Amino acid sequence: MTYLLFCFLLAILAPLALATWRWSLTGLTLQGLLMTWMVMQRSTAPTLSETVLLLDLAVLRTLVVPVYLSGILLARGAPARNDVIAPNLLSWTFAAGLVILAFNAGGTLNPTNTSVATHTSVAAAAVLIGLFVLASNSSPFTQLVAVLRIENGILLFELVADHGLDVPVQLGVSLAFAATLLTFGRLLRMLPSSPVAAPPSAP
Amino acid sequence: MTAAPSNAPAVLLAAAAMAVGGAFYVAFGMDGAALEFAAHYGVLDATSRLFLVLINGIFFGVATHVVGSAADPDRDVGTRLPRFTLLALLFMLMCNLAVLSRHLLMMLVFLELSTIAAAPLVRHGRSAASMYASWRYLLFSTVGLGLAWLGAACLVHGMEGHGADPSFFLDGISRASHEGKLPWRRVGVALLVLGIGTKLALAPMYAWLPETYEAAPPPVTALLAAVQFNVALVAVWRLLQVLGPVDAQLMRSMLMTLGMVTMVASAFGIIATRRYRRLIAYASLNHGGVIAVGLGLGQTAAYGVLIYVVSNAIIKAILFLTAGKIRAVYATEDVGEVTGLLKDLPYTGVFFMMGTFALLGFPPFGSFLGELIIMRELIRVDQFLVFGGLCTTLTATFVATGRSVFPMIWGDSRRTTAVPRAPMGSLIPKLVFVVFLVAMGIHLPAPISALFRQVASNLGGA
Repeated sequence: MTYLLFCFLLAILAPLALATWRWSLTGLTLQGLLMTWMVMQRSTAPTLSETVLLLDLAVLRTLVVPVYLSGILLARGAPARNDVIAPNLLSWTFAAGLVILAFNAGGTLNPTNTSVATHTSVAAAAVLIGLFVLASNSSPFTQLVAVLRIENGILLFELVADHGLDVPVQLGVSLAFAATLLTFGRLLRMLPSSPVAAPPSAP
Repeated sequence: MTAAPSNAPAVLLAAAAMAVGGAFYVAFGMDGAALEFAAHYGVLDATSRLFLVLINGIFFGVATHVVGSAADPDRDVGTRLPRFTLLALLFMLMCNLAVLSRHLLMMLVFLELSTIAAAPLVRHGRSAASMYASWRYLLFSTVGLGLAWLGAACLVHGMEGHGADPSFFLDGISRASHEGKLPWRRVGVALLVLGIGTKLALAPMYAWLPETYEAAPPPVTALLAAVQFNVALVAVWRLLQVLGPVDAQLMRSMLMTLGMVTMVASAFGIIATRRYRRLIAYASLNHGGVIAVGLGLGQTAAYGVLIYVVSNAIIKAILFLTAGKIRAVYATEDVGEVTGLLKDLPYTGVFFMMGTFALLGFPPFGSFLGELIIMRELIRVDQFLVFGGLCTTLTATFVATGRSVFPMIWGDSRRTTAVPRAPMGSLIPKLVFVVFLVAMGIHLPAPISALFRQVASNLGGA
């Protein structure tokens, strides 16, 4: 599992340095794919709830999210460049600091179980990096990717649990995610300014 | 060519009437014992009964206003009533399900789905400002509810690590919270309060509220401020019920701190703004802060908090619906451009005046009584610092609001042409709201008072 978590961390961090929207979407695809792999590794005979989770991960998060969002960006003629965080040493240092903080928190919360500690740390890193991007970037597309990164981090954390969610709850969570994505996508299509540019400030 | 008559008004009114009728029946016509249903995912207890009456009552008032204004050339939702009807009904369905839920994750899912139904309503006017407001509203909500989900997961992970049976059901959380690992439980509680606090627009996640409330059509703002706010409040109320006895200190200090910071931020906003809808939005932030402080006091102030919550919902509905009419007539949101409301728009002026008095906590309105109980409790439990902060921010809010709003109401009229009378259908709901508001401060009928007391007594952490 540890190498999958390491890859997940890379999928979170790589788009910060490779500043194009295609890399941001590739990062989300990889996160979805890695989580699907983790669930498949964990359960040889998936329950109904795990099947719904697998569909959520493999179809919705790995395929639908990047295809849907890239379709919107291509239709709106978005420029390739998309800085997720400001391209300077200060931002990168801050992002690195957040990852260290996440690993410290993971170790503190799980002092005895290293594997759970690593899992928690990577999930916390995804959430913290997502919040950092949200706080520092006002481009709608980047904000949306940050939200999806946070959602993936939370789902990764949920995978630590020995038990899955009940079927109605898992269905509800997946439905809410799909509906949220569609609503964000529709708004992204309609916003007057370019989806990868900062919007005008509020009055 | 004229458009075919739509049956949307009839559908909207019928659905709202059925909802409020049903809510009153379950609140006052049924046995008061808690009833679980839908494989234990739903619960009908005192808390859900009270809030069902509140949110469906407000919805009925807003629906009557929207349908009553349909003949008004200054109508709030324009010509797209069928779209409004569909989305508003979806929104209300999700809000009702959230109130009835006794499963923490399902409650968050329903809250998110209600946000998804409301986001297109916020951009109903199709302006660029409303698009961006809708975007930020959805963004903050998704992140806030995501954090709450993470908090719930931490809480459950703590139970699991301690060998307890993990559960997202409220009674399961209540049972196992005593056994959960302390660090996980604390992180979980903090994230839950912060996350759901985003839906209540508590600091630091309040920035979406002034913009959204200002940009959305007035009936939509009324629904967000008076319905969705209270649904999120039910979630906090439930958390206090199940976690209060275990983590009272952490929850109380978080709620009081977030509440006070929110009040200070809102006071600065009220002082700085010159736009009356934004001013009411900042005042809503202030009310959210007072409610958070009251909740932080636990069971002893719960009755006062409930009176304040119900009054607050009615005040916001009156003020936002009235502000919509003012904007439609004066075509401006600048407080300096609107004067002599009582002369130009007598009914609207009276409603705006009553709403403002209630907003500022004047007697005999329920908000006065609620604030009084909360303040008394602050002194009783020796929270003098919070009491001082509360008094200071309330005074600043009072002065700043009065300075902007009173000339709007009593100033000299600058209009040279008469304004057509508003349709009665749009006035009746506001009149009923005002009657309720006054009644709450003077005399609560026994069944309603009993329900309030029952809900207040359920709040843990006394």
